[in-house]
Amino acid sequence: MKCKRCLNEDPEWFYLGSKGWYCRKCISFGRILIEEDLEAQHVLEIQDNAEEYTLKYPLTKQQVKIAAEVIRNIETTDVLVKAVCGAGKTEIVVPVISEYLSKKKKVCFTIPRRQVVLEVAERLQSYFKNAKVVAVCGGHTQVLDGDLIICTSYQLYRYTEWFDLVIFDEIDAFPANNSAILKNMALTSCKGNIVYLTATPDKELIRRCEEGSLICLELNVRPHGKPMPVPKSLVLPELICVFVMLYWLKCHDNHPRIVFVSTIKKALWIGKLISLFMPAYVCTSKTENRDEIIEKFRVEGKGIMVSTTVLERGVTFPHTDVCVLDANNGVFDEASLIQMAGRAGRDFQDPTGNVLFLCSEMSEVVKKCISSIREANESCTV
Amino acid sequence: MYCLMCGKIIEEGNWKDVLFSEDPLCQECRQQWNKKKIHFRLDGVNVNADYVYNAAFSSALIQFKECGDEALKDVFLYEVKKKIQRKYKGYTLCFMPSALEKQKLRGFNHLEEMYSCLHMPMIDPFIKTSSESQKQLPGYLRRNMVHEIALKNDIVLPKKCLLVDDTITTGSTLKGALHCLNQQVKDIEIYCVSANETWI
Repeated sequence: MKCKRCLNEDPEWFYLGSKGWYCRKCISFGRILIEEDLEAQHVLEIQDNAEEYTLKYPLTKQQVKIAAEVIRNIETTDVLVKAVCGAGKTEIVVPVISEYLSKKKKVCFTIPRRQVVLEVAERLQSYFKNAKVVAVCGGHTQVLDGDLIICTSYQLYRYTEWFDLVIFDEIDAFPANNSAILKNMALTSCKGNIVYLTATPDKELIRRCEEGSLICLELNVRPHGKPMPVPKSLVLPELICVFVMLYWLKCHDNHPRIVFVSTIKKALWIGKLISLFMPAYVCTSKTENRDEIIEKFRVEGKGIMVSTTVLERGVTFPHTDVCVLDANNGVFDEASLIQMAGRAGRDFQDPTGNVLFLCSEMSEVVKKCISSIREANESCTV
Repeated sequence: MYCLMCGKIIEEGNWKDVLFSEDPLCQECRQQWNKKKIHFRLDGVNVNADYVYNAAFSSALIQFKECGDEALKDVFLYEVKKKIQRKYKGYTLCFMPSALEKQKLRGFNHLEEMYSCLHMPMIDPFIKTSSESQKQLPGYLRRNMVHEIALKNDIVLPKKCLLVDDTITTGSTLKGALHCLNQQVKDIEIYCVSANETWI
């Protein structure tokens, strides 16, 4: 037996209910019976001229090259675009999206995080002005079909065998990183091939590249040509770290600043502490008006945001400086530290940024993160 | 054996799970359910419940009812099965009604499955005249449910009725059922697996 949605084959996870066998591995997405044929989906046809796009900035030479390689390979195999944070991964896949839309083929851009879905949807809608770009995520599920669907990986359960091309952004981000179900749902939702986008591919993707079942395209330079800011690290007692963070915030008050912390609880009290001296927003997975707070922070331009890893990926704020408090905490792995550092220096006008890791003791993960960023920067300057 | 909620292999878990328990949930998941003896009266009828309706209970119930995970049917009464059989010996279980559309969609009567482990006589005497799901209704509208529950036509009522449900929130469905039975049955008791905190 094999589940059509999550590809589970472990007999322990199948149960014989009153209507027949069903898979329990992906039951939280609703029951589908093993012997039942998938309902024929009514898929909206792609509108004429949906493929036309206008980018805010033209693609750089390197981006154009990678974008062409994606188009060349995607018909025959899955593709991994390994690019540093801020390299413009979303823009790199715009040509391939356009190519598929022009052939009236369905495209999905999926990301594990809800917040990023809304931002990417907005961005892609601004590029594809004639297309109906639909964001599907928690709180946005009234409209499920359009020319281009941007959804959280969780929402893919709605689209079994639906798309001709799936672009899976940040596959190594929580919750997709630990979930075979979410990864497999991307496979079952796609009739064609998948483009994976990430700055930090996991072991499985690396293995597939080595094996040859995945073409890896690398881009280590940001569109503005400047390298990614290399984080500075300071090892100090925990309490001193907090004072240093306050001082650092004061010193960089001409830029928006993000302070990443390890837990929601910590985000709340650090937020309160900072508020004693200067106004600060707090954004965690439990924050109810998250969209509103992020928008305020973006508009304000010189504010402070205290956040958990919820904002580590996908979001772009111009001119931002980043401080990671307790960077040696086990919650942060190399990929998430790289991503958090990658929030800085993303702007064309201000391509440099300041990244500070505050640790109570130096950890391997922090060292690895810094050396990975250095390596990526070196490879782009060679 | 996998824990039916978290999927952890129970044999590899806590030693108590391995040695003493046939619980389909691992100890960690079970501990998240807030077991508490709850007793109160509703329109003069005794109501008993064994769990406080909390997030863990709710997610199991949603997985069972809304996602249609029938494998969870024995999870709810596992700890209290014997107690109920003893306490309500001689009673016939009377299920609270679900909206017909919901039940059709689900493909099974969730209460029948949930209470089947008790091996007690059971009937499904009520019908819901409205199709609206209660969950979407605000409290003040739920109270109107009293007039939206009716007895099925050809039903023969037992002498001792135990009205059973999965959870009691505002009590409006149960009040509607009591209203239908109106003097026809003398001995009525109510049992719900869980109760909303407001009843404690």
